[in-house]
Amino acid sequence: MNLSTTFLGFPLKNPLIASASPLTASLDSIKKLEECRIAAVIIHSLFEEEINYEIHQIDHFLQINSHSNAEATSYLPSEVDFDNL
Amino acid sequence: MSEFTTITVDGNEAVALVAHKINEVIAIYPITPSSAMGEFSDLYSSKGQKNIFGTVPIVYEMQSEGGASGAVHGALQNGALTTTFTASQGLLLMIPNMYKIAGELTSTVFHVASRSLAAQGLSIFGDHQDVMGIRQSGFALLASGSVQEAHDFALISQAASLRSRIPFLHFFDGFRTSHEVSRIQKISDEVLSSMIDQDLVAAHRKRALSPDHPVLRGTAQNPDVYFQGRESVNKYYLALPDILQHEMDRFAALTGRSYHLFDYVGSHDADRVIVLMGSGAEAVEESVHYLIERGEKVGLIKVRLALPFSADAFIAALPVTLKSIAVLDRTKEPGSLGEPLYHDVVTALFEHSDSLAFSMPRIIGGRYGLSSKEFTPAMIISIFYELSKDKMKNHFTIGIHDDVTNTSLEYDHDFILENPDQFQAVFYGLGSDGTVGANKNTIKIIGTETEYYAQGYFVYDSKKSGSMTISHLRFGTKPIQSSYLIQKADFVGVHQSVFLEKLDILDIAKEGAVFLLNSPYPKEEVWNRLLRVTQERIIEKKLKFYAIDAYKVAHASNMGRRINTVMQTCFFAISGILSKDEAMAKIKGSIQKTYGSKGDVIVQMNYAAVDTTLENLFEINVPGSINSTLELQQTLKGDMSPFVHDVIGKITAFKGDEIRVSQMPDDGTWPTGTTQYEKRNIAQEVPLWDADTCIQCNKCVSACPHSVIRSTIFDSSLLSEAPDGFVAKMAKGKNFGENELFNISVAVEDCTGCALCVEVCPAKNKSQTNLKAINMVPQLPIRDTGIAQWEFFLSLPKMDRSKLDHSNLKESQFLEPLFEFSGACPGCGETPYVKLTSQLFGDRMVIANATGCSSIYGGNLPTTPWRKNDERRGPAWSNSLFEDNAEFGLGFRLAIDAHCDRARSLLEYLRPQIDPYLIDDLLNAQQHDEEEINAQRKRVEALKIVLERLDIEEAKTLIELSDYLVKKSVWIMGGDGWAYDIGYGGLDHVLASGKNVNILVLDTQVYSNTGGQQSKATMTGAVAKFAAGGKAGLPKDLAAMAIAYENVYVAKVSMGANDTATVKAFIEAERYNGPSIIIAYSHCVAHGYDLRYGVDQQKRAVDSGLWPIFRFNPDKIKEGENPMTLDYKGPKIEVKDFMYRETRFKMAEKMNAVSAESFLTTAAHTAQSLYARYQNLHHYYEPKRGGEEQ
Repeated sequence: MNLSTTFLGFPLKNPLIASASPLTASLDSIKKLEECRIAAVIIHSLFEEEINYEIHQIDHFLQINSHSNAEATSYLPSEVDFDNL
Repeated sequence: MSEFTTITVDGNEAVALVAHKINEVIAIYPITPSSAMGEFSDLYSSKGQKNIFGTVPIVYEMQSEGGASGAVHGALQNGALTTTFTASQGLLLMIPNMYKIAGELTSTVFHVASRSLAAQGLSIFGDHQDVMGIRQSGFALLASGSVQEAHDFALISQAASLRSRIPFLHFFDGFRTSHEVSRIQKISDEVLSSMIDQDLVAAHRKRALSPDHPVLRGTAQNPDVYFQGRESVNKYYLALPDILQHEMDRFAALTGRSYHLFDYVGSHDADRVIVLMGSGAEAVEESVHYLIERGEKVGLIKVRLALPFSADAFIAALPVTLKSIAVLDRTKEPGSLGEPLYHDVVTALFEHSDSLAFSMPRIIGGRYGLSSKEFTPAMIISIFYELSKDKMKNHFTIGIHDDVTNTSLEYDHDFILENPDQFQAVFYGLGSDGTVGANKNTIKIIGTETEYYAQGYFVYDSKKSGSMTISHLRFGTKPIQSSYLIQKADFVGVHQSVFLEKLDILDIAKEGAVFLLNSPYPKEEVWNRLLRVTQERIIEKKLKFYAIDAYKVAHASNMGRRINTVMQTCFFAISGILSKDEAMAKIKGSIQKTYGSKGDVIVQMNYAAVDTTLENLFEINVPGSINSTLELQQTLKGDMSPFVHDVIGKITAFKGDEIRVSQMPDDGTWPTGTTQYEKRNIAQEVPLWDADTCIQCNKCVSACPHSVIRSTIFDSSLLSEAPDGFVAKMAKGKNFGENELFNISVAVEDCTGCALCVEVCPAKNKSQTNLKAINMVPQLPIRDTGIAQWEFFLSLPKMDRSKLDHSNLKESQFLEPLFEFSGACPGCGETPYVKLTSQLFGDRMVIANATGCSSIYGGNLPTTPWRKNDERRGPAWSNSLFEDNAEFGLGFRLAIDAHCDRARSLLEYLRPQIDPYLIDDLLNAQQHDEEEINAQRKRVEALKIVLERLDIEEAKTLIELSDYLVKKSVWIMGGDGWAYDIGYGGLDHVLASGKNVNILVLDTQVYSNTGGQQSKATMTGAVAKFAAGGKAGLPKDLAAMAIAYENVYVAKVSMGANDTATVKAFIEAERYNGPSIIIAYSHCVAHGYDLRYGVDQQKRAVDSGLWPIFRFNPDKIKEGENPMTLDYKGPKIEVKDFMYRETRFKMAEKMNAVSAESFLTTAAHTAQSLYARYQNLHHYYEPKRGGEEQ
């Protein structure tokens, strides 16, 4: 059966779309949806300002009290890898 | 020889790079200055970096150094290549295991950043006292003198230990080497693998305990055989020197860097030789070359293998022309005939006197460099001069002025050894402005990407707020051996213009040097704003003067108050070390390297700062004459004793080195109440009270970490004396009369500007809704009026304590704090509790303080925040160690009880001579609260008058002891690192003692003082050092463990969540006649958010259920009431709404979303289970009706 349709001009293989919800909150879950042949997902809005703000905050608080005391050259492990920025 | 790469690292990193590569297990415990070695190792392992055996070493943080050494011993006994890193008291805690490890002939290396020991005072700085304290353990001692040597010897010692079976202690000077950033050649993996003999590793493993080839090790031996067993190891020690030299030779063949047990440097026909070890040898070598160029015949012996001391190798290294030797020890053995190296040298020469190839030289010993005391060429030249005298001073000291026992040698304070090939730069910054970080970066750029050698060393003052940092950077075409601070600089960067108001900084500038100033003024005005002395220095030294408004540039680049990139760019632009274009390219490359992993926005932000800096950097036109009349300010102000003025004043003016031995308290006793003179003026903004909006709740007073906000109620007639601008409003509250006025005053010069007071203020200004009843305003415009108002406030009569309800938060805050203006961080979460304790019980407190933040802001020189009241009473304070604080405090109690018992028995003895009613009243007095205590004080005064008239010995003794008839309040304070980890055994014992002590745990859930290592209090999901991915386990519930005793008063409090319950807890704990423990939630800079929101976060911690608050009062059991009072109502908000407002939790999410999710799930479960636990307790203790047994 052909269930294909379009949504906002995008051709979809079927009319099933996962809304911005816990189902689309993680990459793993989105991959599972795709395996179950979902046609599209809508993910939570991402605001550049929010992302940048978080990055700035982390950078700021990793640095701000560093190198100010002989005993504590930093207060958090700052050289870790941020894989989820 | 293999190819080498150049790296620019500090000593700790240089050692960790090697140790991590050649070990399988690393068990550690943080202690300054060695902590970074463990942290680097943990970082490497957390990134999956492998050792040369192809596995990722297990790095494990223990609960103490004692624990670390036990774990090391265990891992060694089970065949793993194992190491640890430590220093100072930590090394002392390892001694018992070191005997075992050596006795069992076990190969290992302990890497030690050597540090002073706590004696008359604690010191975090470098000398060899700790290392010399373990000479008897059986470990070999190998000394490094530079970052390169520390890197190399970390490997050589491991190789030699495997071959000799003797464990090694490899040490290098704390701070001078551990924290000096230097360009070195990195040892390649091939060299590492070549040096570590796999057969020896296999042999080490074969000696492991294993049920597959079982043996027994660690017998108890008896008089018949123990002695012989002890002597059985001699052959290993005899063989060791040759084995070590063999490994040094193998290393030399692989790397080209050649070392010997004793390395001689100097003229072949030297008649005078200095013998020493460690970083001081670098400065001596530099001085020896200088003297040889001037025709002197001098040399030095660098001692590498200090123990076992090879007399043969030592004598063979000496020049045969030798006439006199000075042996320098960086340690102190009071009462000894000399320090250890001196003894070894004397013994070696005298025992070989028959076979020497030269006649017996004259030998003197001396001490230098304790606690990182500077050791400069001027001092070294003075020692060589001493060696040429007919009558030499033995057992001398150098670098101090000993005017008591006259041990010190004179030296020329003006002599400076010029190193013309070096470019020397000093930078004065604030701890929080990023200066040190930027300079470390600069060294890395120059050291790694140019042909220059580079050296960086950083000096910090003793405060945690507003601390000045001084960076010393040297660059040169030859290896840099100057292991001392810069004495004259080619470049002086002053990153905070306020420093020039109190210090003659430009004294350090060479003629023609470059001076860079961060000034808030336009370029036309910069000159006119300088002090007279600064203008004079600029003109007389012909300085090239540049200025920039770095805060303006940083702000415009979205960098806030971080001026690191701006000032670094300025340095490169005007220092001429690199061409401008090359320098800018390298800075940008370094920015990409440093911030690349933190997101492109951060990289771009820094790039923008670099670009705008150059447009805002100006050369200032220096006029031919001065026009300023501004003079340097005194560092201390007020009416002070000569001691405070002469000694403490010198230290605050950075001239502590000039203090003579006779001026120092010889038993470590210092006056209290000296922060009041410091007037540091470090806050750019301070709170200003809006009397009309204020509801007089006193919450700002209670939240203030530095006791700078105070309130009082006074008679309105006094207002006429008030200075301009002093405002007071009619006092609210039923206890206060119509003629009484309320005022809140601020010590504007002592404020750190944290703004906690503003956030905690519940009153809103109705006309301007962004304002509250207390608001931050710029300090400078209100400084003078603020000072006058504060002085008037202090002159007002103190409120009558007996008329205040101490258990009421508002009224408790009218009580005078006897803890003020500490050096704690702005916004500190610990000090409000400490201050509260001093307000409530200060006049009868004696405090045992565990080492940590609270001992540093409480007792670090120069000034002390603990003070006296108008009756000259106040907290008496002492710090013993980190691990023993509960026991130390229990000792206070036992002594006080003993004095009290003696006083009581003397009272009985003297009954015939004294009014029996007075005696009975004294003996039977109840002293639960202050009124009762004051009544007893009056009785004691009456008693003393009677006793004065009795001319018998017992009466005199009772006069001395009678104050002990008045209740003394014993307080045992410290952080969670002490209470949960290193001191827990003692804490538990004291809780079980039944004795009347009060324990205050300032719980930041992390080792704050040493820089944020996880403790057992660390919450699930929090990122900390040694929990770099976020702590997966649960925090320990210390309160529940204490409640289990049932006769311990236990409170868990949070001032931000429930200040009333907090005050009640302190009063109940102190009143309880048995052990009490209060565990106080303390926000901390290590949590990673703006601490002005600390109070709000405290509330969220409680509302999330992760910090349950309650009071368990055993007295209530006796009264038939429920002892358990829950001060919260269970989890009300999601744990995320508390956690993700702090970087410590948030960064876990940014590192790994999946594990972060599981942390949240675990934390939510913990919140529920804690609530259930304490509800159950409440339920269990609910008194049953009808006299049922519980």
